[in-house]
Amino acid sequence: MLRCFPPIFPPLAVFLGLLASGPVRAADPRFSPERFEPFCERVFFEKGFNPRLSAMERRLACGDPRPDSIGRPWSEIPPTQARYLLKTFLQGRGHHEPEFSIEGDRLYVRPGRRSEAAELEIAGVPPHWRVPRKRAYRGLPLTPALLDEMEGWTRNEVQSAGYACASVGAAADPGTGLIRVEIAPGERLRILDVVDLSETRLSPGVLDRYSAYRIGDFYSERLVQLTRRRLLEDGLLQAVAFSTGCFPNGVIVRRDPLMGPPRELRVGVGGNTDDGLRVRARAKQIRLGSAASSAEAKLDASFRRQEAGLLGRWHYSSSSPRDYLEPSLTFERLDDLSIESRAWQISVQHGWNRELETGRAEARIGPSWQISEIARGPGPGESTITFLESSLRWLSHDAEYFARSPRDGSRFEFDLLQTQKDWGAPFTARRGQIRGQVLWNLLRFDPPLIVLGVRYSLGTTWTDREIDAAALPVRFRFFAGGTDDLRGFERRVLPRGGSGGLTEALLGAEARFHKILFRRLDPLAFVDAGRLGSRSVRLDGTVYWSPGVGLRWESPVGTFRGFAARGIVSDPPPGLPGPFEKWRFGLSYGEEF
Amino acid sequence: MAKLARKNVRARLTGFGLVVGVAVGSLLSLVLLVVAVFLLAPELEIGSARLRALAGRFAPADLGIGWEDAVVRLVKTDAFSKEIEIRLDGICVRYKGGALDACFEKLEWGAGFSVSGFKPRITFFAPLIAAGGEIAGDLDDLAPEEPVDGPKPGEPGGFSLVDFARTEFLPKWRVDGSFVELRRLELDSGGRALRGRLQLSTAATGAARLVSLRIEDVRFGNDISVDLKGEVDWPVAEGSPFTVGVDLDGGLPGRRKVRARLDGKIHWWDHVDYALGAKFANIPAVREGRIRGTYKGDGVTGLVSAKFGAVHAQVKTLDFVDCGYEVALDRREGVLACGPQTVTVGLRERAELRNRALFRLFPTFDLRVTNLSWENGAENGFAADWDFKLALRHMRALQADLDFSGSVVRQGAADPAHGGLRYSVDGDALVRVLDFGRVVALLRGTPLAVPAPANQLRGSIELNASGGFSERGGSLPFELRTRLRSEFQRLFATVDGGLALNRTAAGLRPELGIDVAIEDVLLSLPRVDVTSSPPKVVSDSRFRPGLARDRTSAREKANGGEAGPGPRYRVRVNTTSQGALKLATNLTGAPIPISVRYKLRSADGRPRWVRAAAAAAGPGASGGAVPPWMEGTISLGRTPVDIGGINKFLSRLERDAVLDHFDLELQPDGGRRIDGKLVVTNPDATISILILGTLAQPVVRFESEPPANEDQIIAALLFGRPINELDERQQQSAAAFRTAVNDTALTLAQMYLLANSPIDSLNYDSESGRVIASVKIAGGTSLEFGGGRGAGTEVGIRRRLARNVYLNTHVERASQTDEQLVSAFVEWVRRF
Repeated sequence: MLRCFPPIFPPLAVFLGLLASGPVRAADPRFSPERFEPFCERVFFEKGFNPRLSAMERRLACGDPRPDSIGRPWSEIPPTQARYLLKTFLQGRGHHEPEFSIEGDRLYVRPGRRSEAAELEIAGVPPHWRVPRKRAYRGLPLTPALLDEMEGWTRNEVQSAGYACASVGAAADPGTGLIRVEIAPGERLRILDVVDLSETRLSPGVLDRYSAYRIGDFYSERLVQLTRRRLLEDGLLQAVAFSTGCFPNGVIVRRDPLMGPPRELRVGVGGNTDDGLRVRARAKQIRLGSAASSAEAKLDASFRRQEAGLLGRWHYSSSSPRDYLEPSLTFERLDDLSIESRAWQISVQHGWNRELETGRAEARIGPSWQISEIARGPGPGESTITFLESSLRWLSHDAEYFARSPRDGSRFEFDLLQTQKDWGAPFTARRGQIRGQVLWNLLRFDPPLIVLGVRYSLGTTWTDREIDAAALPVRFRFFAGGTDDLRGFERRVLPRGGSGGLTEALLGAEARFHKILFRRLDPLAFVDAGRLGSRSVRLDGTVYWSPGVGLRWESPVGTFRGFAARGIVSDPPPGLPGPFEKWRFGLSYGEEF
Repeated sequence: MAKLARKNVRARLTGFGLVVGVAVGSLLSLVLLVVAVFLLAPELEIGSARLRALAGRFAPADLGIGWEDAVVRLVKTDAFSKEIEIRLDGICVRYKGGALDACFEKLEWGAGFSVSGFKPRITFFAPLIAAGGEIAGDLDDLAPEEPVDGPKPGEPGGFSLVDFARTEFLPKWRVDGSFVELRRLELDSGGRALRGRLQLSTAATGAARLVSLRIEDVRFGNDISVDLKGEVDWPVAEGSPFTVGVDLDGGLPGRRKVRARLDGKIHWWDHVDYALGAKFANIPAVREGRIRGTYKGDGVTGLVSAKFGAVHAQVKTLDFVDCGYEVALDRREGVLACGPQTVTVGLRERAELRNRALFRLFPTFDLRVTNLSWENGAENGFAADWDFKLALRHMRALQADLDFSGSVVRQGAADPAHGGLRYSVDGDALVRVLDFGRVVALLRGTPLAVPAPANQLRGSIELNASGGFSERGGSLPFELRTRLRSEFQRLFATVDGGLALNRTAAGLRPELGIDVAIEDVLLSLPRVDVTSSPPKVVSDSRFRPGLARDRTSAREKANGGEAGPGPRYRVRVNTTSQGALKLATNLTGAPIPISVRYKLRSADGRPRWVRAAAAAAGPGASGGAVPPWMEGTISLGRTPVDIGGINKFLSRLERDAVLDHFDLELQPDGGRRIDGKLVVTNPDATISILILGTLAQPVVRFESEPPANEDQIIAALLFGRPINELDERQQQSAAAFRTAVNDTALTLAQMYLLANSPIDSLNYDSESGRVIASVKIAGGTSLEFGGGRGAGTEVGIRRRLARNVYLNTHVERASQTDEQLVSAFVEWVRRF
């Protein structure tokens, strides 16, 4: 809401309010002067209490010291007026039953106990909304800001269930700490249309490419927010504001985009615990043409890996604005513990992108041509292969929406990499892999109490003949170990020997208790397990275990995770080097299960 | 019911009187018969046995008379005069089988009579001695079952005990030496009992007789008690006044007590001087009273004093001292006049006061009642005219003069249309605050202290009202004028209005109409910090103690119950000229002129089309309750703006900034349309920032002359240059400003500050709603606006750290190994 000049203060209403405001006590031993300390010349607070008034609040309670045309009329604040205003200021800090005593022109203030939230009651629950169980509010000061938060949370939840025009009001009992939220949900409405409020000069459907909602679906505030985030994170728009128009038969979503300059330059420093320090630079043309195609050049370097590339995304069809062709040219150098390699790759991928009711599905397919050289470690040395890459990806809306604080949702990927002997490779091979992750917010608390997650990966590489994994390009092999799959082992050290395997089966489970330590830290426990195989569709007998515990901190600047995991090998094959069973400690930033 | 009770008591007392009269009369009849027979006998004595025989023969069947010893002696004093002496020892009279039992240990009485013209007449009554008496009875049983035939008291031929006592008995009674003693008096009536003792004695004191009356330990039921002691100085000489002194101690229900003293001088019924004083205990409304004066046949005059307690929540005491009254009985007129310093009103004090005199008022008033009339009978009616004047001067600060007159009539046959009562009131009132500054000083340090900024004003306020009401309605027009000013403020306004009472089927309904004319008002708003939101000054009504017990939803409360028609009101507020209302604020160089055209009406005063729209929307639309509606326009006029004292800088930039106008239109259907314009004038262009739409959904647009697109305008607005001459940083700032405006992340004042500040750069984070601008004024000062959007559930993986610097988390796939790489980066991001 546009806030206009500060509201006109009604002195008459204030004066009338003075007559009805709080009790005045005289000659009460609780108000003996030695129990108070001066806040200003005429206002005294109980010793040990600091109201932390802002500058303007202080002027309203104590008077304006400046002798100008603004200050002089407000220089003398009678104790009754100060009492009225302080009652409101203290209410904003959770003190609802302050006591005052006026002795002449002095005001003595006992703030009283601070009310805290104890119970939440929601009335008027509409039929299609399953009420989450709110937590992490008990014990918080019962302030207007907390009521605003409860209203906002409830409104967001109800609107995300389709009640786009719900009205919500909260009230609270300072004595008992009860917060009651009343909902007038109205009808559950569907999205009728999306209307742009400003000109973008883009083809129709370009902005809709990012929409998480669909015309005809029930309205969801969460999906609108997700859409906004997609538009901004991709960089297509510099800013966008959404609003809704409610009608008896549905909702019109109004979108007000701000295009911003079409080019973006990023330079950054960062990293992770596996790669260490990384630097990166990106230059991107965000909008090419009315279909908002894009082109990007990137550089990425760490001690372990260096990459440079050119990438384009061409939205070629105005009738299917979500579909694209994506040519790319990349160079990558990898210097790992077990392998050092260099590779050039040219690929063209065709992508189809569809928004479904509960998530987004994307399918890609296209040829790639790669020249790779393995300078150290097992591998075919120099190789030039042509392969076909296909993939199918699914990301649920919940998983995408809660990306920074995962609690619900799922993701799924199927990748197929295929090369033929007559495509220039010395072999025919197909690498298929299924991987994914599912999270559950057990007990449906908000914020969650227990988040249970399972991740899995199944993959194998078929070849036309018996072949060692070392003879295949790195992409056709399977490695395990590291934060991504088996946390008790170093990154990509499995299977031992460094050649990689032709089959993998990995499963991880983690239980995280959200914000239960000091209201900030999440203790977690996990078990990762996996088997690898040196042959196609065949797993070796060795089972790798990785139980562990950790702590997660959702800081204002991102998520930090630390863990301690024990790598356990059961039934190891004899004669292979390396102490693999040991404790591993890890610290990551931004990574989530 | 009261009338019936009074009838019953009168009947019972009449019955009691009749019994006594009958008993005495029977005796006297008996005696006179004997006298008639033995008229000429010089002396005759009838003994006890003979009297018993005579009583048995002549006394009524339900009247039993018995005695231990009795003698009736008849003594001839001259040829036609006799004296009769009656002496009875141990006499008891029983009536109606015990409905009344009266016994005396000793009863002596006599009378003298003579025959004149063959008619016997009583010449004197001898002193009465009735000692050791005990009377018990039930008045309910004594009431006559059938109407008593014959003339009623007061009618021709009827017997009136009072008249008999006044005209026959008292003048002829040789009272000296009389003695009446009732050791026990017990009378029951209607379930309540009267208990007591009585002693009446007389003693001659030379020129006067002293009649002493003591009524002790009288109890009515369980909660009313009386102790009375009276003395009458009865002069011997005929025609001389006799004096009465009575002390009374009474107890009333609820442990209330009264102690009274009556002094009177009775000049044989046509002239009475009296003084009555009473003190009350445990009666909150009344503490004591005193009335003294004189009754003469045609009227009553005197002085009355009284002290009242809490007669009203705000009135602690009300004292009258020697207010004069005069009642003319023949003309049925009366006056009560309290002159200066005779009335003291003590208001309820709120707290420790420096000046207790503040709460003590000394009004003078004069109440005259004329043309008073009343009817006795089944439906008592009355009528009166009255005239009331009141004057009050208080602390040299407040003046009030009231002058009202009227009439009241209660019809004998009750008029159901008006509840049986007709009244009218007409008059004038003038209330004036003579010196507002003195009022402020008097109230300083009290709970009624005048709040800022009004407590700096000085001057006068005057309220005039003149009108009249009756049971059919009426009106009271009034005018209020304020003439207040101080060094920096003024408050000159006139309020014209009227309170009307209109007769409806449901009774009298008030209707208030007020026209406020703002003539010259300049008020100062409190100092505001531009870079932060002003604090809330009104308590949040969402906090309600007892909410846990109240299961009724707010919606049900709003919908619940058919609210009856409340008072109707209409308020209009208008400024009389451009600039009549100004608000001084630190945000602008000059006070903001405001024009007001505003109307507010109670719910049932809405126009028909608004009512129809609300009815079509249904009760849920407004929650059931119908709020008052308002319409009008509040406009802020053309004002140069000088936030943060930047005008000096602007003038160096050859830039002029002004608030052209801002209008808020209040629509009867609840809409709040806004129309505002900020104008910034550069040497090359004039830029207007338009604020349109509604308060809930405002729309901001940028226009310029010569015309340009919005990005160009913003560039010129912020940096005074065309957009293609801006460097990358300035272009980024322009885009960020536009975004912030679209996201309504800026208040009007903040937007204006940014538009008129020498901005070095500006950034806006749409996630948090924060705007950070670097301003050249004070060596790189940063202004930061906005505070985030509250705790929503939207989360993101990008965090703004500083201008152009973000913390991002990226998820990628390595091309060779296809592994997922999650990395966090601190990135510097620029768009161009």
